[in-house]
Amino acid sequence: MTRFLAILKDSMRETIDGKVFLAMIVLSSLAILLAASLSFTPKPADTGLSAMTDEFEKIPLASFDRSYAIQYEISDFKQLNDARKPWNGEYSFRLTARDAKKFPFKLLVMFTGMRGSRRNPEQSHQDREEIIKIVTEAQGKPQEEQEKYIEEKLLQKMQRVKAEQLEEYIFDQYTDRGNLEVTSVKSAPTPADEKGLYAFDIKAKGKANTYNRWPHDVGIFFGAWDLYTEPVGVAVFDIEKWAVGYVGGAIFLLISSVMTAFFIPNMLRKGTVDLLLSKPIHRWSLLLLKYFGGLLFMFLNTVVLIGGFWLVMGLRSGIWGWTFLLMIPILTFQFAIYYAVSTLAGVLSRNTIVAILAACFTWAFLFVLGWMFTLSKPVPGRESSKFHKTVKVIHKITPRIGDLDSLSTYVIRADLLQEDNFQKEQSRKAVEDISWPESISVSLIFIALLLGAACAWFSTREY
Amino acid sequence: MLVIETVDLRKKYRQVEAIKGVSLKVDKGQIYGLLGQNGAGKSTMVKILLGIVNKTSGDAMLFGMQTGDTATRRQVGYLPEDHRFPEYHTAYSLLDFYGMLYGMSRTDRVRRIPEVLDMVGIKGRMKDKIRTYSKGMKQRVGIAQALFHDPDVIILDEPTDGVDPIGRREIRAIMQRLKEEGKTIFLNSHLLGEVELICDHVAILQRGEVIREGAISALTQQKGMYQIGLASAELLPESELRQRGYDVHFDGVYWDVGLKDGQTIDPVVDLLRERNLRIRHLIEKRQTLEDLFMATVEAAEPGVDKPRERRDIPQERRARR
Repeated sequence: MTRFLAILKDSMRETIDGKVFLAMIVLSSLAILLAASLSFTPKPADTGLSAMTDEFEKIPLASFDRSYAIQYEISDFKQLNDARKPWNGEYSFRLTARDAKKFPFKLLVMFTGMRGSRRNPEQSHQDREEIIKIVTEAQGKPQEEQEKYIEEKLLQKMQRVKAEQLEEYIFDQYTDRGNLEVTSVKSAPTPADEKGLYAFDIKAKGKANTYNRWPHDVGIFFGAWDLYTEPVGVAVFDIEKWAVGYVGGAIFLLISSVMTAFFIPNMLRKGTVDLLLSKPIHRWSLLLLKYFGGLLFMFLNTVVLIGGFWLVMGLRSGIWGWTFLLMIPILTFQFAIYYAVSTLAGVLSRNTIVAILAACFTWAFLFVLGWMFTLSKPVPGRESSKFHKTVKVIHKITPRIGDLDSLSTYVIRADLLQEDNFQKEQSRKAVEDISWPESISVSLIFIALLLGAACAWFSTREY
Repeated sequence: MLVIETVDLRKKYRQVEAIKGVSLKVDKGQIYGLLGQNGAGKSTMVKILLGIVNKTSGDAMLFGMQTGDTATRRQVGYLPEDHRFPEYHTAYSLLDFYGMLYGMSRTDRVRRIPEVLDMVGIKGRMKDKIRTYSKGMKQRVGIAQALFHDPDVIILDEPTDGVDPIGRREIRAIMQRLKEEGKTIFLNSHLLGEVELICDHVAILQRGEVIREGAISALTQQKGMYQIGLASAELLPESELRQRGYDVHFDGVYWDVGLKDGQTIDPVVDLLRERNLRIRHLIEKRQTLEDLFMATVEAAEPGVDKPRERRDIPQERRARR
């Protein structure tokens, strides 16, 4: 333990002495300060409930443009209790939904219902079967008639959508996407000459975790610049995803690789290595301690960066996504892979630049490999190409950086997004589809092989 | 008790044989000097003893154990030639770091660091970064780190390199004190005058081979050569002594009298007494270590200081050059 502490202290001194550590601290502090300058201002109750409709399902497919988007409006707003915070309030209001220019509200409700209805699953199933039948029938017709046939049939079917289905849709939207406890949704009359307009009288109140979905105005530099309006949980997720998950994480790993790359070559300089090798410590032990010293150093840096970011974001937004802290071991593990490469390159070449380049090359190689592996995957039912088979073999025996990226995305999303959030479901599925024992074992074996080779070389080499 | 022992030690770097069957014995408490020209194999010898370089064949032992054993290295202090301390350390933190690698307790380190830095004369600057030190100061730090963990054997490669004359004297004093404490010192040095002053034993290494080895007193003794000085204006009876078979040579102040086999100096002294000549100076003449070194190296390989001829270049090409 004393020797480990000795190497660790020595590495710490070395890093502090090289100005990279200072640069790292300054960069981390800047990122944390920038996060601290973010402001999250909750929308007042009426505009908040209105902004909440931005999260509703408005268009049938994500690729459709705004001309397919349903328009919502809130009126007759009343607060029924004296709660100070809008997400704790109890409200009654009227919500009107207007057909989009190119898409009727009822058809959207029908499509949404097809995915499953809480109250009437049989109806949902029946709708789905009927629509599949319409599409199948259309396929038997000439090409130019297909679209028209589907449109006519769907519009006919749409007429059968009842008021209760529309109410259920609105109920579900406020419950799932607004995270409100909806106590009543009733259809209200609309002017007879206004076609495609639907009105609902709604009573709803806040729940324990309504805050997470409450729309906030997000600003930076203590509100000097307004950025956008979003549910606070989504806003925090977006910021953490970009600042730590994607760009920040990559920059952090790159700087850490540079910062630690000179540890080994410096230790092996002529005149320095003789002094160390004359000490009563095995060479492999010296090298491994140096490796773990670098790793621990990186871990501590990650604790500061991630912990600081999490603390500041929590204090500023009131959202405490605990799973975000899992980014600490994930980033450290990812770094352990690159640092093992850097260590082996450092021992073989005794050159810092070579060690940095080797780590960067490995990062790029694993990234491109994961990307090629995903892109070359065959469509289900088709046979794999030779290229995919080759990529698959290489992918199987090298660390799965992509798996760690998927895990990063999921842990950032896990506590911030609603259970039914599509992105969250996607990332959870991606994480569940990964064989973690295999993924982690491959990475650990990779690290062990590289460190073993480095130790073997270092132990037999004459200095 | 033997502290260092090598038997027919050999080291080959590809085609070059750096050490050719060296056998040495260093007893406990000795100050042993290893002399030789650049490239003679001195540093390779030391590195083999420390396990930094592997031997090709033969035996190299420290305290009766094969070298390279980590437990044995605990009893060794080492100052390499051309050492390069990490310059982000201060003398204090460097010794603390090395002390931790030796497994010394915190209490021992805190007590010992100022003590040993005081011994080498840089206690006053122990909290300054090593990069601000002069070459001589770095050398003192090097000696301090070699002594820090109180080793039984201390291996010093050019310990006075870059140190001023006063510093050299201090370092010699330190070595003398360590010898009195029973420590064994193995010294590589080019400074023959210093080696002569402090070493008990020396070995001269020439192109990887020991060409002379023994106690300094024995090696520097010039058997059968005396120096005689007489009172002012008195002259040595040179011709009479020559007739009796002695070699006589006057250097302007003293007469060197050389004895031949079986002769002693006593008949010379008797003759001077008979003639009522007053003897003011009479010593058995010794040669310096430098004389011995030069003579030994020259005898082993005449013209060794000249650049080596490339054996792989044909004669006519060499001539053209």
